[in-house]
Amino acid sequence: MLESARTPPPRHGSIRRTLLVYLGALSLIGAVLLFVAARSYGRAAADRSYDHLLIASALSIADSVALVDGQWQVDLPYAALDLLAMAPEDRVFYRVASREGATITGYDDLPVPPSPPLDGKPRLFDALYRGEPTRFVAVSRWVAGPATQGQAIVQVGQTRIAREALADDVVLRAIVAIVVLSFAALALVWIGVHRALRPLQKLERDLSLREPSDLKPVAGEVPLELDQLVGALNRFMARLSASNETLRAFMADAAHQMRTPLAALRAQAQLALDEDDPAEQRRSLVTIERNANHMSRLLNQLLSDASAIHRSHLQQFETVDLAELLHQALYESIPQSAPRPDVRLAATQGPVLVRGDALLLREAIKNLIDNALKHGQPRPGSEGGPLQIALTVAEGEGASTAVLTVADHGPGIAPADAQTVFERFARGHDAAAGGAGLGLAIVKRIVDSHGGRIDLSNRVGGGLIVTLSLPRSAV
Amino acid sequence: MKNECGKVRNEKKRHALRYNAARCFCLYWFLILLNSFLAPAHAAPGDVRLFKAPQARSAQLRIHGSTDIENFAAVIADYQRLHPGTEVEYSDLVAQDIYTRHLAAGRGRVADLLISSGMDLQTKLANDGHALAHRSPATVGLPAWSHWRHEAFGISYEPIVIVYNKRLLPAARVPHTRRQLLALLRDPAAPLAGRVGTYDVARSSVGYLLATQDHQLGSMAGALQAALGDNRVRLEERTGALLDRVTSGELALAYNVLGSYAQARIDAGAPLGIVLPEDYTLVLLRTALIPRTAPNAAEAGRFLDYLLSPRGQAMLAQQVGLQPIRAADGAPLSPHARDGARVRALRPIPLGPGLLVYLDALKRRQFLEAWRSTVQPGRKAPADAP
Repeated sequence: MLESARTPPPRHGSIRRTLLVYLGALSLIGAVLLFVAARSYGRAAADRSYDHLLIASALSIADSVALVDGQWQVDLPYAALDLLAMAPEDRVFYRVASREGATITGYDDLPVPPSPPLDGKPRLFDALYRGEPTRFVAVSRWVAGPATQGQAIVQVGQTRIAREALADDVVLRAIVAIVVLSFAALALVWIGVHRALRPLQKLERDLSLREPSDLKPVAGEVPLELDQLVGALNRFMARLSASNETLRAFMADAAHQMRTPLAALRAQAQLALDEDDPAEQRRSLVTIERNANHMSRLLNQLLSDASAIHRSHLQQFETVDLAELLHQALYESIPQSAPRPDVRLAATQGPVLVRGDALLLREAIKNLIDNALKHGQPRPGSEGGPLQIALTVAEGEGASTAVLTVADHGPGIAPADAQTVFERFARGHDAAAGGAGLGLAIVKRIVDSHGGRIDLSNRVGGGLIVTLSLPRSAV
Repeated sequence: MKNECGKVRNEKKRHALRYNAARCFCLYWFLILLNSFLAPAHAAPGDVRLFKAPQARSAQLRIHGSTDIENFAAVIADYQRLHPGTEVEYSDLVAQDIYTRHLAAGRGRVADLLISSGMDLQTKLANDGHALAHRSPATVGLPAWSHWRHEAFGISYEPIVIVYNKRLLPAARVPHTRRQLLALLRDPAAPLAGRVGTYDVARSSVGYLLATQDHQLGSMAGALQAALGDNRVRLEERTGALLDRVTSGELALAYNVLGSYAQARIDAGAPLGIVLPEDYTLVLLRTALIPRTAPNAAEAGRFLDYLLSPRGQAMLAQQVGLQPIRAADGAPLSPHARDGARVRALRPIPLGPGLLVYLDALKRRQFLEAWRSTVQPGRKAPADAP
């Protein structure tokens, strides 16, 4: 934690910025959409209200059209054009024409509607007339005179000034609303993001204020989304704490274990120095040599244990052949010079594949063989036999396991010791001298980290059987 | 009075011209050619007068107006005091001519400013896109009813009145409403038979506008027309002629006359009386407009601003006898800000599309036919004027 605080890692972006960008963009898009909608709505609303006037004007003109003696008559109603003065700044144009297109009265150069109007259905359209955008309506009226009948088309146009003004007004009001809304949305987004990120900041502050040795779980309420993170963090801290504890215990144990042989060494060496008799000196030196050997072995085992701890934490497993590892371990553990111990190996044909760390597994097997060679000698007077090592494959329920058994003819293990032999520096009551009490502990650690099992049992007639089961690799 | 006589002569000439459009334009173009070959326009008598720039000429302004030159000259002179570099050419035309000339004029002979009492014709020019919008500090405060689209501007406020000869009509008999006028016309003693006058709506566009507005506003218009016809109403084209006849005693009363002209006669000592009808008094806005094709539009805008300025308005009131559209302090006049009982009665004719209705060719023909049949019963309808 402190490490990361001192040297900030390269930034991969900020949650706050991401949130603000996305939410800001969202409200911006919303504002644009609202603006577009308001504009089209404003135009439509303005057109709708003024179109009513335009249509009313055209209809009132159409109403005044008559056919007298085959002659068209139009008595332009005053209200028809005065009505359009509701849009005070707008110019108005009108035309009454027969269906055939001949102008009866009005402006004869008005733009023609895109399609002729049907009876009773006003046709509205926009066109440019005399340099100004103009809204037109065309209505048709069927007129029957005493002798003749015909159809007249009344077209009324009005420039768009009042419409645009109304539409602009609507849009302006909408813009004011949109701007206010957008700012409100942005402010809420800002506040929301800030509030949402506050637990994270609190967590960070909590952690950065801690003592380096303080690995207590993070306390306090956290939001749902941070639950997982804090849980993971707490588990990690618990592991770290446990690991620290193991390390400290190991160091204390190791120091304690080293102190005794070192004291013995110092005492023997002192003895040798004080002795004048060469024979006595030699005896002391032999003792010193033996103690040094013992310490060397102890140190090796400690290193092996440390390595086992380290590698089992790494868990860098691959598929390995247990049979191959067994052969290698045998080769490395059994002294090649005489006297060669009597070892009998019974292994299945072909490779026995498990997932694991080759180095650790080999170490475990070596430890078992070493143990068997060291402690498995028959007691004086009892019947001995060869060291029996077997590698078999057992098919259990749905799972297949590789089973390695090492059976010796030693004294076995007292039931009282069965639980403690796997603890560090614990040794059997009547174990032969020279052991550090680490062997089985290391094996147990390795097997555990591989998801396997180790069992001890005493064989009938004296001797210990160590059974090691490892799950077989699927392949 | 002298001027009026000159005007009558001119009217005859114009009368002939108007009844033959082709000849009119031939002569018109001939005059233009003559002008371009010979001399500046001041050579043309009566109708056109050139007001030379008091100082070195830096701007030109050509005005077509329906106001008498003699009255308007003082306004132009005052303008030239403010803008000494401007040469002004003023053509005195009737409203209809201002309209038709503008439509017929080719480039180069277009006036820069049209000032006409023919509100409807000016509105039509604006509606048909012939007018230039004019916005300036002077036009900002104008009341909405006094302009349309910032293209047509009312420059004066002219009540339409009944004028009578005080010597011929005793005060007690003077009609103050149209109903009273109708009663007077229908009086069995026929005091006004042959002695009442009004505009000839077929020839006078102002008369036509007033008659149509009467028709639009009053339910009595038809009856009044018929009564006028029964009294063998005298029809004149111009206000001046009408007032001449009332002043001389030939007519006792004239209906629907521009009040400003009558007031000018009264101020000059004529035995005339003015009545603002109390049922309603139409108010005509003398309307100015800058054509889109005006060669000197900027100068026209400046002149228009002057006319609308307090100084210009005061000048119009003093010299031309036109009531200003703005009050003396420059504030816009409310359309009804008059004294006493007449407050409710003043009805300014609104500038706007409504005025186009009676300009519709069919509508005009129908209206004139109906008008003739009531005002001139028994007389055969002459050819319609354009």
